[in-house]
Amino acid sequence: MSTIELSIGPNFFNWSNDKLVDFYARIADEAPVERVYIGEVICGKRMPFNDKVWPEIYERLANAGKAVVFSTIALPVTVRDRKSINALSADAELVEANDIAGVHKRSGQPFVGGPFLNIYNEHTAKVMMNLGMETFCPPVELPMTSVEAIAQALPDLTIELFAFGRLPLAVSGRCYHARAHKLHKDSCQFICDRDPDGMDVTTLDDQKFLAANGIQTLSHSVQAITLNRDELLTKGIDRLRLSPQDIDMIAIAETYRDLVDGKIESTEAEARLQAQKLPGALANGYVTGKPGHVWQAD
Amino acid sequence: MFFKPERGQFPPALQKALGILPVPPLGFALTRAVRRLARNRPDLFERLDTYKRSHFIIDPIDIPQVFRLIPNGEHATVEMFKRKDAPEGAARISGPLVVLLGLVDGTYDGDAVFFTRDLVIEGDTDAVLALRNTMEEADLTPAEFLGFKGRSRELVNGATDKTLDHLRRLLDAPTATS
Amino acid sequence: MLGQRNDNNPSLELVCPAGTPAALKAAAEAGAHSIYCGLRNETNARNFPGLNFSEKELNAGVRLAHKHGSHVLVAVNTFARAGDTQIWKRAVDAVAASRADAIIAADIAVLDYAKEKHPDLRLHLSVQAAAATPESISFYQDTFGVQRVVLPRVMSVEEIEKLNKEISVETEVFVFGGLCVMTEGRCALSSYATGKSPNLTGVCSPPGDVSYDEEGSNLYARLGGFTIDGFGAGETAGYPTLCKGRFKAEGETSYLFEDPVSLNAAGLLPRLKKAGVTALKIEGRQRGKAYISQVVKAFRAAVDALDEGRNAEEEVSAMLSAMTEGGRETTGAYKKIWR
Repeated sequence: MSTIELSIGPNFFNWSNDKLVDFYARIADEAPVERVYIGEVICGKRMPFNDKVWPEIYERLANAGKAVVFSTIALPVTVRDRKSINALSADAELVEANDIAGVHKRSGQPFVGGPFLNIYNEHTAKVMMNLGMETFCPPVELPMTSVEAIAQALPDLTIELFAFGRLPLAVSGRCYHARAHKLHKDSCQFICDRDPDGMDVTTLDDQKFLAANGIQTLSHSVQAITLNRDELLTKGIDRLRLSPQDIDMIAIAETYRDLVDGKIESTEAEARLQAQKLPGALANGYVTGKPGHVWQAD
Repeated sequence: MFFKPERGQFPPALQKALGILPVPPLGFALTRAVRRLARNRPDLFERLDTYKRSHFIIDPIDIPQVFRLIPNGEHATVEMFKRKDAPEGAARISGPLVVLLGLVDGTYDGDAVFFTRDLVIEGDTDAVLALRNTMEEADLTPAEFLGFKGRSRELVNGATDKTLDHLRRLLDAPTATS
Repeated sequence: MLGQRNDNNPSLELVCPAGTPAALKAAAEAGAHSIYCGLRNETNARNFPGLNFSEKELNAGVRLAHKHGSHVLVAVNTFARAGDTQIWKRAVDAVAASRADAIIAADIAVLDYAKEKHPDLRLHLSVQAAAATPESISFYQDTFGVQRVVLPRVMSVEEIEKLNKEISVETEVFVFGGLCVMTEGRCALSSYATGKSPNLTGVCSPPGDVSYDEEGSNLYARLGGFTIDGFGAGETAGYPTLCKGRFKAEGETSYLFEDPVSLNAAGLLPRLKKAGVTALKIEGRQRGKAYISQVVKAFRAAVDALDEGRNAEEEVSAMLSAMTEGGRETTGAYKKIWR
């Protein structure tokens, strides 16, 4: 592939149905991206609500010519979580597996290996390819040297990098939104809807550090991989994933479009990203095997 | 009791008296002991890996001397310095003498005395951890370390155990972990 | 279960940690049914300086454990680095050669290699693989012939019981020691702060990135430059494990993710047995032999009492109280209220 594609990753946050419908309508109409991932990947308790709007969102995006992928939940626990994985894996045309259960239920049909799967090397990636993986979005902590080694060993595998957005760092059985608001997980009042970009977590001396989103912990900083077109091609990268934040994602997508089309250089892309109302500082440390919060330009 | 010790520390008068001890012979004896250990238990120094070339400053805060340990197998050295002449090292381990000795023979768990702040670690924590895990594997008794064998080893161990136990109680040192 | 089995009333298997040959000996002498350990390199998830076994020490350790009637399970449970998978494959070969009783693995590359090259080697799925549903567990069973799965520490007893009814592999659960609040194998918090993590390098909140800074009468524990906790004068300090720190959120300072507690499920053994659990795991390969010896003795007494139909809860908690003195305990996710 000599062009680099763009995708909008699955939304992690508890957005209202109206907000979701509006967001994806704009993506369908205005975002210069080839592919969009939809579906609830963080909390099964949110499913009964947003399940109602996914069919409509799917239609809207598909009619706009986007490839629409159903992302499956990262940490299935309840029967409902498990059933949603089984159903999507059996029926959907394009599916992203974020737990090994999804890989199993896909029974050899093509799938995207999501960033929540533990695929760290070419041997594991090869086994996954034999099971149907055609696109691989590496775990966020995987350094570029490893991504390159996998891309080199498996030239037929489409590599999609988590290029923009708060980094998904951890999932847990416990809900931190409920805990912070002194509520029990089973009666959480869906309090995570108050923080459309996640709840800021700072250190005792007020250093910005993490962001909580229900059972998920993200980085406070915003990942921004801004390698230029040639660098990405050399490293075997086929697609960049932009993870939804509560900001002007069209402007973000346009910036990346210009970057991967070779119209602008890294420094200009960074300046255009910095000009947006980002929820945290830019970071790209993981790319070079440094701590994830580091921004190399510093 | 006629003095109230500062949690495990020697009383000031004794601290002062120790200041006039001649410095080199003890370092010489300890160097020989570590080198002897390197011959008998090479696995321990393999366990230390690259940290065997680290300079550890051992600082018994209640005596006027500090030690520098370079546990480099058969080239190992232990040197004793007056505190004011103490060199820099990769890591510094400070605490009352009975606590430091208790770490060697396993009386104290390193983590426990660290968290109660009876032990202070500065510098390369990885090096200290390597040393701690190696000591754990070594399972040294005082007599074994000093090279006593057979019946005399048991006698020396018994005597030092008793003395140290007595000292710990006398000095109000932290309770033994094991 | 490894070893003899009485199908009517199978005894719970006690799986105990060993970070050094001295600890392995202590665990075997204290009555561990099985002992788990790792090689001294990045292939295991307790890759701390001065810890773990050389190949020679592993071979000797297996011989010694077998003499005591204990089994040895070897953890090769990190994720192989791309381009360097040989290191992990060599570790699998070393485990097979040592005549250890099983290998504990998480990476599909490691499982696949073990299954291909050493089909007789028993495979246990590490907690780092985070397999907690019948679907994910049957994937590992069907694809690699895994015979036991170590369950994530985020499940309740009720969930474990339900799960055991739906799967045919053995389950092993943690009962004592450190507590991961995040799903193991799905956590990159440590690498976000330090560049090193359980999955990448086999360490979490590594000591080399820790600093303790005295500021006034306060002591601050930092990891990779981020303040994880602070302690007033006279207050017992703690290790800055990232998820057990004090942070600010919504204008309040708290142990947001988890209090600095350790897991103690000694009181839940009868329920875990009823839930169909095969083995009980004690965390702590980084702990000293004195600690190992006491904890193993206590849990062995509890397991034996359970076999004899006695309740040894009081006696066991008295034995364990010395090990957790000052520190606080929790039954963790086993009781659902934890969430």
